[in-house]
Amino acid sequence: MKFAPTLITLLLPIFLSAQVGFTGEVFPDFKIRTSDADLINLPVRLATTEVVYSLGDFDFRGSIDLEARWKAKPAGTSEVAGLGFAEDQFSLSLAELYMIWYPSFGEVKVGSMIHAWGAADANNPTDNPSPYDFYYMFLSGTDRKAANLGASVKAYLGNFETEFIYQPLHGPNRLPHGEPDFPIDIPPEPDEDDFAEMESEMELGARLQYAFGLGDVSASYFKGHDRMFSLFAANFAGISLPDLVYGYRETDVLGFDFVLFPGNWTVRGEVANFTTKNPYTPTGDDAEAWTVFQAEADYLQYVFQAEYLLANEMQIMAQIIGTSYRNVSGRSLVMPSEAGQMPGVVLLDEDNFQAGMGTPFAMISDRVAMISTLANFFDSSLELRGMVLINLEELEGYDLTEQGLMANLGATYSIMEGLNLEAGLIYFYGEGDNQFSKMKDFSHLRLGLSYHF
Amino acid sequence: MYRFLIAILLPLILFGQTAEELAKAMDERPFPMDMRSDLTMTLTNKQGKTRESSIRSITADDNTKQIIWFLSPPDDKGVAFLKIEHDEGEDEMRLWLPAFQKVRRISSKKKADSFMGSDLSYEDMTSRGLDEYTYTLEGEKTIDGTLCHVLVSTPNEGVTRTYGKFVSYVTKDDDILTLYEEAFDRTGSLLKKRTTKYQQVGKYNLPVEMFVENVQTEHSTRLTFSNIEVDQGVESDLFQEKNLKRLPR
Repeated sequence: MKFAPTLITLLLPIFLSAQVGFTGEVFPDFKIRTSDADLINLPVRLATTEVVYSLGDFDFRGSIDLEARWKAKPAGTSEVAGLGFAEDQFSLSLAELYMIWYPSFGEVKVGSMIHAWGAADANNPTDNPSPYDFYYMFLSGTDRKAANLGASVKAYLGNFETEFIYQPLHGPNRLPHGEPDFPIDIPPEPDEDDFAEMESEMELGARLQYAFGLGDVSASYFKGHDRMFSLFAANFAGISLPDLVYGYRETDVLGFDFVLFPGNWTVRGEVANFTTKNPYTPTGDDAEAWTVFQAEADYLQYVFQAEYLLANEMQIMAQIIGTSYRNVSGRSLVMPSEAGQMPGVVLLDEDNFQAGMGTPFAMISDRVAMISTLANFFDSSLELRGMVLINLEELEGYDLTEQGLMANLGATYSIMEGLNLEAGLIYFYGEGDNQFSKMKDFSHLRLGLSYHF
Repeated sequence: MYRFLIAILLPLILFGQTAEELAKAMDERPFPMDMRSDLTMTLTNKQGKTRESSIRSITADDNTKQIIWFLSPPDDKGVAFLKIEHDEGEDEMRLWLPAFQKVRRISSKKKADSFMGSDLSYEDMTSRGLDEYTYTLEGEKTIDGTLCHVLVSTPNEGVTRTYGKFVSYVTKDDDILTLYEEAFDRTGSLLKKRTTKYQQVGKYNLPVEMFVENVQTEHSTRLTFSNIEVDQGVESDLFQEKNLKRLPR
């Protein structure tokens, strides 16, 4: 009986010395398609809030997102996020929940968290420990990523910084299956039973950074599984369509990134080499009936970024983002476009191989150039942003109309402290056979508010 | 003979301090080994609209190391800045951006950039090298009832600075405090005016209020210091990237 009061007496001072921080943002926004002035039917992240509980050398952090749809989900959408609300038009999800311990040598994190690797400001090919949330792929920072369960240890030793990541469970990208308004072709979502079991879901990562007078250089390694699924095997024994097995290829990533300051420029760059293979081996009595698509590939993704500060603190930034495929081998399946036709087996090459890890922009093009600028006016009350993403996939006989581009204009106006009015236009242009042209109907105006608390 | 020599030399000893000697004395003025303070930064534009931020700052090693955390407003909360000046080579500047979960190394060459929208540039936050300027004394002037030297500091040739000249009003007493300063751009036009109020903290005279006005943009910044603690033995490993990520207790 005396145990409880004693425990309370011992623990109370500890809990009283703790600090609780609470921050958040509410940002309702609407995307209105320019072609028909209709609302784009995709979820929006309506609000996010973060609670930090600090106790001695420990922080406990949790953040919750509130997602909303202004229109009912399209029929056939199987996406379910977190706790459902009435008519599934609102959903709450636990974005992150983790503990940080700050020992003298660095930091130790355990829980469900988002990692951020790489020197470039966006489109980082070396940033693979956390999956992407494709619903928000046009946002920046951690807003377009999803948390994964794991642990990380960061240590600082003089000019060196090391980080090790361990994730016991694989985290796939969140994909907008069955969303006709999503601008990128996403394959239909396979049934859960159609996925091959992984021998081990464990993922490991390590990063070493060295800071010196002229800048920082880093090397990284990540061993895990693709964030996008691919076809592993098919069984043609049946009368109708074949049975299919999907999975996440095993992928190793060796990365290098840097930031340097030549003259008045800032140059950031990343290169990552991906080695991937389909590890699937059929088992069971009918193992021989399965055709395994033994895909293997090496591919290189890169981003080079240059920044320059113009007069009146106007920033200009340019990026070249690309993927180069090497040693692609194996086979895949082409499903029939019409009923009655048989699926066909095709040899994999750099044109039909789909990278399952790395920057999401690899899904759009193998080479793009991005130029963005940002300027503040009226004493920073108005921020104007401009960005153009130009497809450079086919350089020979370059034709912009054929290749396509994306332009993004944005403005943030401070109405009062903490409250901003947001407006933007995303415009796709192109007539060729590529994603830019396919996304033309996604051109839209964005209007919203953001309130920080 | 003695009396004659004293009569000749005393005025020189008492009043004959050269500009270089004054600059050196200012440079050698006792300054805490480390300082911890809370700042309120109020920005005011020419329409009179204000924006207030709360900041916690820790400096050490003669202000060559500094780490600051933004405590408010909510949209800046958690942003943190680390500066380490090096005698040789480039200075190191890093920003922690919570929305990106990333520490971003930024160029220390962009010293003219405004620091978080204020009228202070990164250059204003770094120490002025004593040997990088040529000094002249241009008489005396009374500032707030205190007689001051008028010290003009001009960057030496080859030294890249945002400013073309500083005119500092430095008290003639033993405290040698810069009460008021004008900074001119490279074209010779007045750019900023800075007024500083001091208070005795321990054995040091430290700024407790600073008002910086950019006369060209008609924008101003008022910095008010509170909860000042000096010589607390701040560990040098505080000035590491890892400490940017956690708001100080």
